Amino acid sequence: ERTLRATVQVAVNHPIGANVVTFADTLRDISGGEMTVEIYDSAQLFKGSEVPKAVASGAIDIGVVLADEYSGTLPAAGVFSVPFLFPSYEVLARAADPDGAFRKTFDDMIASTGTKVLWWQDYGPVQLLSKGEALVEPSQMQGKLVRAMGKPSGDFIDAVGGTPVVIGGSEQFMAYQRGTVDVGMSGTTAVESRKLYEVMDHVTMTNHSLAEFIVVINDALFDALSDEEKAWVTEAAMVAEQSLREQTEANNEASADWLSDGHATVTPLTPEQLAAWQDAAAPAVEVFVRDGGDLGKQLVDAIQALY
Amino acid sequence: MAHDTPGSGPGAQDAPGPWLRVLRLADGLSILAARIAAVMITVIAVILAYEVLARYVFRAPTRWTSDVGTTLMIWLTFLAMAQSLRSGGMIRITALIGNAPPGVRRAAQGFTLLVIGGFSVLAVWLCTGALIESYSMGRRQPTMLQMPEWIAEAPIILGYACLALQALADLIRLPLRPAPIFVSSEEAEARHLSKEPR
Amino acid sequence: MTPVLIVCALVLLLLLTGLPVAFTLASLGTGLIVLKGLPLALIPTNLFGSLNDFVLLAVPLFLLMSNILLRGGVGRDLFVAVQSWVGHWPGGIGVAALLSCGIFSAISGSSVTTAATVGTVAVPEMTKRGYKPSFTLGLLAAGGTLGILIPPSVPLIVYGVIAEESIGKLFLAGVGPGLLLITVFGLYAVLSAAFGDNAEASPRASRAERVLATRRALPTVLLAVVMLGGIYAGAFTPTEASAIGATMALAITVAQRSLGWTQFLGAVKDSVQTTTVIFLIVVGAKIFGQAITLYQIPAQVAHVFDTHVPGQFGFIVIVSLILLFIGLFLESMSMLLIMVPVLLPTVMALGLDPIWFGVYFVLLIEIALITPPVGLNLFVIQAIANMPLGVVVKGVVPFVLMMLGVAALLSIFPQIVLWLPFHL
Ligand code: NA
Ligand code: NA
Repeated sequence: ERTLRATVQVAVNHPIGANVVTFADTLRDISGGEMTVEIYDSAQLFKGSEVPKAVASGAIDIGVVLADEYSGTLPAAGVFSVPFLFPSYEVLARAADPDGAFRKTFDDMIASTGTKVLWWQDYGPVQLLSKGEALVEPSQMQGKLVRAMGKPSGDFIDAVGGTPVVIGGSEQFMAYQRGTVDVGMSGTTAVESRKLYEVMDHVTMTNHSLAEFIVVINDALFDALSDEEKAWVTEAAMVAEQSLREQTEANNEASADWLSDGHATVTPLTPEQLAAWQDAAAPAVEVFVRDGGDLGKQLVDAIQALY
Repeated sequence: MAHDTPGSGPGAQDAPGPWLRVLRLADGLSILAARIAAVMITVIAVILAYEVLARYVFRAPTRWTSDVGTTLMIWLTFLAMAQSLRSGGMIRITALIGNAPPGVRRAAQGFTLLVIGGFSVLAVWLCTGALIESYSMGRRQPTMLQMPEWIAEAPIILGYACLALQALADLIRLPLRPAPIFVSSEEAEARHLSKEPR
Repeated sequence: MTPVLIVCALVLLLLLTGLPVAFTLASLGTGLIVLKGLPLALIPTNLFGSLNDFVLLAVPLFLLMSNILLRGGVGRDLFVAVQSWVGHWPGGIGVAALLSCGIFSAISGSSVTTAATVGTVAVPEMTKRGYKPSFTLGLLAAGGTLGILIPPSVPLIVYGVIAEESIGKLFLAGVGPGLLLITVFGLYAVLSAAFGDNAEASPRASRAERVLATRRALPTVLLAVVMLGGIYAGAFTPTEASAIGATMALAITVAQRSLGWTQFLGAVKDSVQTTTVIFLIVVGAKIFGQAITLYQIPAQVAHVFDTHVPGQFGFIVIVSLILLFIGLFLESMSMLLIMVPVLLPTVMALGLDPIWFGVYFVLLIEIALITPPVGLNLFVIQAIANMPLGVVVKGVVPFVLMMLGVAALLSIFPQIVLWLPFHL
């Protein structure tokens, strides 16, 4: 019998946390109770930013972390935040193919830090929020203060002429309410769950990047598992990944519908507007390829081959 | 909490003999580190105020102030740690040991110094390993500045090393001095604050 | 339940030997990790991670600001100005002292500096005018505790970091209860002057005196307005507000020629030392908190409440009793850092608002600051007045009762806390 400890920075009733519960339940069932997972949710043990190091050092067995948290050490890990690289759920699903070039390159890169990727957790596309008018043209970003989540999203804002201000998730609501920044940035479902629509009345469906979480396990620990255990873990991970991918698309569409149902003005981009945004954001893709080196280039090429 | 009057800290005079220099070195290091920390806190205030100015007046927020500020804060905390042991400024409950006979007070202080010294040595050992890993892997923070992580990790090792030295120095001096007098740190701070020149 | 009791007993035992709180938590946490065969890598991960948070930067800077103002003699200017307006009322000097505490609370993040700043000027004045010593000292010890309820507040910042809640919201949430406390205390001061006490009021100040005094105190009030107004208006984050506050405090005291080089160095040195002392407990508490989490202790506590205590109200009553007891002996930051991680899972499970709980917790810390044997504000006021501790303790009794009443009000009407952050 073996117990694995997992740290999650959100609550177990949040889709990302619930998905770890799905993994734990599946693993217990398929291993006939041989393997169990103890889940420590709500960042009781580690904040997201601490997870890469905590898992690599063996302080904790398994951790959930936003892929961008690796982007300091591995600039190419910011690939999910590169603007307009993932145009649709289909492209993401193809990129996630375990035998595909993108997935292999990405997971091997994360593995080089002593953390093996178990599965990906799609949380959905990221949108821009604003007050008074939708942001259909990139020129509307000129000179605006814009919430950024970190370096990769900051590069995007730079590229389109805005000024990035890094604001954490918990201060987001007040920053929008009080106008600390002019433009917000958030996943579609979070606009609903964090009540951001109360303070930002326009959601522009730019879908400019993805909030992609990855679940990582300590490399040495995984190597020490028996072949049977490895098979169980891998299978449970794939079950969890698939179930969330299906839910996420539905959840995001439901949130968008709910928002447009009298809670906010939801504006999709026309193909021409999208093209203008992509052109304006091009310098950020160049920055990514420059910082990410060969790996960055490989990842971008692998994605573009899937369009 | 924070004060400079000797509470459980150093007593009347220093121990004679060959240890003197080592002990003075430990004291000197603690004081120097605390002075550097004092400069840092001022720098933090100025750069963060500058950030707001840059954002509103120049509409050009900086990319570095939050990272540099946080890193300086970590440096100042751990640099000033040994001095807070030396000056007896740490928060502790003295209700029981405060009125104990001298032998007990000495034993209690010895126990405190042993635990602090022991934990500090363990911290230095474990953190050094972790820092080497960070450095060799080239870990960087995922922020705009992407500062290498070891820069904010080094002061923790340095701080605990100074603290271990200070605990050792105080432990050596313990039998040579009169038994420590425990004024609760709260009371000591209260006296200190109420006598502030103004 | 047994592990919970064993850990409690060990914490108490180590604290009683006089081992500093920071190292009691760090060493006990380490011991628990080793005992269960948990990875030692937890320790460096915690030591490296615990302070790496931009939000925490507000702590040293708010401390720096209050220390600069304390040494710059701002307390006198403030008190004189408020006194010129309300000093001639019955009980007016007591009210002036309370209002000064309230205003200074809006620039200071700590209760001790608030009590010290206002106490040094108000205690001699009230004594001179014939106020009973126990009343005077009790009023200032209790009024000083407003420092951590009215924003900015160091404990609310630390709570926000542990609970991952918005510091801005927590700050706004402290305003309502803070104003309520001042009102209740002020009514008491007026009533006890009207009935019983034969303290004299100060002579009514002339218009010219008022203008002069107000002009001198204006920069300080302005500082509070810029800082809190800036946070409220979204011009800057609480951390940035602390930096602006510290820089402005320096500018004001230098311009008024009330802060010399020596005083400045003293303020800086004190801020560094207090910061270190607080943060070392933060670091120790992180190791300890992680160890008890891995021992499932918070989960067990939540389970006990779930099975034996009916609902939110039962939880609030029991937690209040526990915190009142712990608060007799333990200093505020230690209370917060030890108890919040243990209680937070239950707070969430019961559906209590974590912002409300943070403010409620801080109110109980305020009470702890004035209950003997260990009460920081008691010591400060005792030292300022140079009177026996018993006199201060006697004086705080009615104030503790009023604070308990306010605590009950906050439990029955949580809107007092939650209206401002969610509706303004
Ligand atoms: Na305050
Ligand atoms: Na107390």
